[in-house]
Amino acid sequence: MTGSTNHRTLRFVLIFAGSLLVAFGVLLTGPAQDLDARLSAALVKIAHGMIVGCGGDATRDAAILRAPSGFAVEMRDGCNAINVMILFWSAILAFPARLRMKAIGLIAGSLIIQVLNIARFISLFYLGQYSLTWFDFAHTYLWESMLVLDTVVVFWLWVIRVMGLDAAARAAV
Amino acid sequence: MPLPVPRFKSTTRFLMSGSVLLIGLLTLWWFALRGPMLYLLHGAAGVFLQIGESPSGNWTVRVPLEKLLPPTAQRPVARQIRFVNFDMPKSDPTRFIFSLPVYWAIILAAPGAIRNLRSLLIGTAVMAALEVTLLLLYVNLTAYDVVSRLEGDAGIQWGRHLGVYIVADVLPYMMPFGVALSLHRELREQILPLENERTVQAFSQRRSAVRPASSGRVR
Repeated sequence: MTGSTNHRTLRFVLIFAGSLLVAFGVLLTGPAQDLDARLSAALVKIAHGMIVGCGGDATRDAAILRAPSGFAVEMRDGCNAINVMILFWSAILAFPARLRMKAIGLIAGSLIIQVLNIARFISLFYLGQYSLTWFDFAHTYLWESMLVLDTVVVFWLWVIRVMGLDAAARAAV
Repeated sequence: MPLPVPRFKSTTRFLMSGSVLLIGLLTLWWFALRGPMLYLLHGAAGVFLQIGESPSGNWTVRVPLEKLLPPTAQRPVARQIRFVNFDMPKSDPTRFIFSLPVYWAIILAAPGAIRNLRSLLIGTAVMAALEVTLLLLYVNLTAYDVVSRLEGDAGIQWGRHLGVYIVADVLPYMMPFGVALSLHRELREQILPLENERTVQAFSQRRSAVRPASSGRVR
């Protein structure tokens, strides 16, 4: 590893870690928590719409989704994938790329993460009605880890795209 | 000469095998490895802390912490603190041991079998050490958080809350990926191609305001 490579890697790590700290620090403030709760309510609304649209039975109260059996699941801070979105945003911010590509990556990546998160939330809603033990396992460990894995892959795809455009630009000169 | 562009195939392969391995290894961990790993974590953390365990598996932790709380309007007499005791439900320490099967899944899904074995062994040791460190950080931050609440310092409370949040809710999920990228060069070069001289050359030349040609779309 050369000195300049060390410098680039260090720069990435520092920007990534700094962005993470700032973003999580902001997330824990009152106004950000209010926005976070609104995001959760909006996502639950979409999940509820999808369940009802597909013929399922559920009622919604803000960020709480309730089954006819009485089982209810609430989307709280963290369950709305804000944590993994912050990881993703920090990685995009730290990686050297054009501003336009960063903006596209942020928007497209966040949308993909949220689509996966809604699928996760709906699956947990049904899994919880079946078994609370499996719900705990899937909620705390499996789905969270899968979501981080998916986020890493989304970032990887974005990096490939950025590299591809740069390669194309060089080839066109 | 055009740069070699990584294929999307490697991402798909990594995603698919990683997902299958995550499901398999986390299920194995949940049913067979969770108990022994909790036992080992208890033993390792017990070197640094006094930890008791209830029959239900919950932990009682005693953190040495010397602090003199000055008198306040609500508490007219100063209070000397030497230890902070608190209970941890079994799910709290469990949070610090699931990262290992996640790490194994990432490494086994990564390209390169021989390199994987080396990364698997070294990474397992690194991950185990980090898990104990995170648990120790968590109990210490929690103890300091309890004391800062007694002191009523909102600024410190926010900082400690942030610390606990990152240690308990962010790092256990991030750590396996961070360690895997640090130890597995091939995976790092693919996901974070910052060490590839040709790639970097392309990045540095982008500042020359070269716009990508419309025909230069990469498949």
